[in-house]
Amino acid sequence: MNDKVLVIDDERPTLKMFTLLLTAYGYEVLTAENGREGVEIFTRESPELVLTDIKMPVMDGIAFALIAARDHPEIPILLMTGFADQRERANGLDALIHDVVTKPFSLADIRRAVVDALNGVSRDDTNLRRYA
Amino acid sequence: MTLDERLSSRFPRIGLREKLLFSMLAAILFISVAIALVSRYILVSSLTNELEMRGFAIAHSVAERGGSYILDNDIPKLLVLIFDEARLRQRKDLVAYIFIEDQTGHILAHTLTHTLPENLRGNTLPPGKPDSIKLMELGNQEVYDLAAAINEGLYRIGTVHVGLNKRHIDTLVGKLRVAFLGFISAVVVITIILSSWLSKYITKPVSDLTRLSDEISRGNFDIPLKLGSGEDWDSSQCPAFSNTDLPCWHFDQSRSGQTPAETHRKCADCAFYRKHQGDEVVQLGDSFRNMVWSIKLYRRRLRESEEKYRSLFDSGPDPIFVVDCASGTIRDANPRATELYGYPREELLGMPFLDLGPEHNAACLDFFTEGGGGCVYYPKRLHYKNGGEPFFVNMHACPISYRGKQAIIIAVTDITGLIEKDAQLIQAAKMKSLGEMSAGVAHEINQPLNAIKVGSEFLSMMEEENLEIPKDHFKEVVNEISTQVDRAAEIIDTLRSFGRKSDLMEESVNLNEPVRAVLSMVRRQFELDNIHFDLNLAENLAPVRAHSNRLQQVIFNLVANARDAINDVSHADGGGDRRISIRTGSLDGLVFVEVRDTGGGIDEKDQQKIFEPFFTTKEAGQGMGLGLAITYGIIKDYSGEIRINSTRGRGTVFRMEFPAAHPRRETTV
Repeated sequence: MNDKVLVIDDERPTLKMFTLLLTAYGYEVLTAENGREGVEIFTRESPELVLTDIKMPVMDGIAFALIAARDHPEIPILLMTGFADQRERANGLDALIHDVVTKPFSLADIRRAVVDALNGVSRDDTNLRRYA
Repeated sequence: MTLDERLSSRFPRIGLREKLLFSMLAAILFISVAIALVSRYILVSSLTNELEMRGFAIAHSVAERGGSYILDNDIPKLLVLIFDEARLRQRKDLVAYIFIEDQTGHILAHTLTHTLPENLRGNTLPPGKPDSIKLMELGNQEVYDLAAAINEGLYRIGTVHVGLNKRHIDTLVGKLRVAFLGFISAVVVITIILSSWLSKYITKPVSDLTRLSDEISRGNFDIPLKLGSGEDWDSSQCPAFSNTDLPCWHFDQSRSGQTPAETHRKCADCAFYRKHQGDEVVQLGDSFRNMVWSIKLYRRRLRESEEKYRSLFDSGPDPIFVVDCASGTIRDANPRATELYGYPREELLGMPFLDLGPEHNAACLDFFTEGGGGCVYYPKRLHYKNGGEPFFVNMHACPISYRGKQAIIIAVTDITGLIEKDAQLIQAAKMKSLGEMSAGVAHEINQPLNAIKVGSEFLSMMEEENLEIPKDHFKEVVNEISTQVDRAAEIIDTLRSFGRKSDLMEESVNLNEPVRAVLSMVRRQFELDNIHFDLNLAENLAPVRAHSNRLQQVIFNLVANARDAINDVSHADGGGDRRISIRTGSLDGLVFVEVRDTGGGIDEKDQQKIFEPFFTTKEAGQGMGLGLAITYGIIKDYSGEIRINSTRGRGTVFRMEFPAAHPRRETTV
């Protein structure tokens, strides 16, 4: 059984690319276009990992993370953002969030973050590595 | 030509003086001759009568006394008797002869010194008649022969003949003739003198008037006007002469009563107006003087006015044309017109006015040829210079009468500079909008960039790690990358066209296009702000004449204001109805766009003012208050209307309406 990864992004092309990539690496990919949809799928499908954009209409990534972490704190959540200020917002949520990657990110970073998260590598290490 | 006609054609050519003289002479002569003839007749007949009476008295006296001598046949006494009678004092001049004949015709006695000529015996007295008279000839003199019967009882016994000299009467008549001729001559001389004085009195002023009016017709108003007792004018005495605003009530009576409310003003004592006092000649002179002064006054005013308007026309900073209504050609143009339009004056005169602005001038000409009155203002019309360079003008057209024909006077203001300034202001405002838009555009452009980046990295990772990708996946990724590049290019194009300075010429625009263009640039940013768009764009919308990017600017302004209004009442994360509805459609030849927000609405008092420049409800430093003013200006430029409908607490609707472009104009431009 492949690991289920939930990807939440309001940009459909980006979503499509993630789907293709993660499928190629052998993950089962679930997609949602905003936080609210994400919450629905998250509770229904219980994925192994969530990859979410922060800035989204209807419900943003941080709101989603707060809900998701409340129900399933064990599931790692990776946040992606294109804006420095959004990254600042995420800084206070370290307890909930496994990792934050900054756009434009390389797919290698994403993939590593995904693999690390699923393998239970300490997020402190990744954080250290990212911000060293 | 008969004599009558010749006379009547010559009559007007004879001078008044001659006419007067001749007619007076004819009248006087006729009267004198008539009096002379009548007097002569009366005199001659009464003299003859008198003579006859005296003659008969002598004859009867001789007959009375001589009867007895005849009966007695006493011839010597008879002779003494007739000699006594004939020679008695003055009678000897009067009596030519006396002779007595008896009943048988035998001469008894006579006073002649020679034998009695036979011809004297022609005056026979018929029986029963006491006396008889007959004109006879004695020698070479005429005599009246008066015969009287000598009676004795009932029987006639003889006849007395008395011859009276006619010469005596003739002398008297001759004296009378001389006296009459002298009298008539004197009357004629007096008549000539009188009539020549009178005719001079009448004709002198008339000839003077003729001479003066000839001079005046030639335009010489400066000749001294000395008519009758008149002295020359001093123009400075007349206030109306130097001040052309002042009407002259004395002369220009026709102007009084024109405006009933106006008080009827008069100079207390006009220095020039002459009341007609004196005989007809003096009255004529006064009337002429008044007329000349009036002409002089108003001619001067006319000239002054003409000079004033001519100099206005010539020195006017704006082109002015006089266009003939019937033919539509330019009849006159001022120097500024030749300068601005670049045609030489000779070419401009006679040129159809339509050539200067083929698109717009026809409406103006049609308006006046179809009998439109009053002045009309045509804003922002396109005209062309010599060589085809277009420029914008405002036109003022008024009907006038020019050289007896119906014409239009058209003043043209070149507003190209103004429009360019407008365009610069709009451009500056647009640049500001562009700045405001940039964050949204960055969002929009980030999306395709992310997708491209992810796609290309995906391909390179697959290659690096030697992973097999299904062919359809590969194709999908490549297509997606290409689509995203197109999308980014489109956003940049939209942005570029938004920032571009508009042409002077308008284009046909479907109102849906600017709405979509603006949304393509800002939609994502608004949605991230939790503001959603409801679009209701009508299909097959008629185009309008406008500039697409200025309409984008208008729509962006309205959308940005809508966002600010929504943000004023609710927070992006706080929920609530955060919606901007955009609707397009057409109604009665108008095409409209509505932008509705769910903000707090605008106070009634502010609704009146929001389109005024520098009016803002935002805090200091947040806005200049020019956005809606410029929006208003742009909409007005396209003959559009913008209306606001707002209820406090329930949002605001901005509705713009534009006239649908006429299909005919679309094809010609």
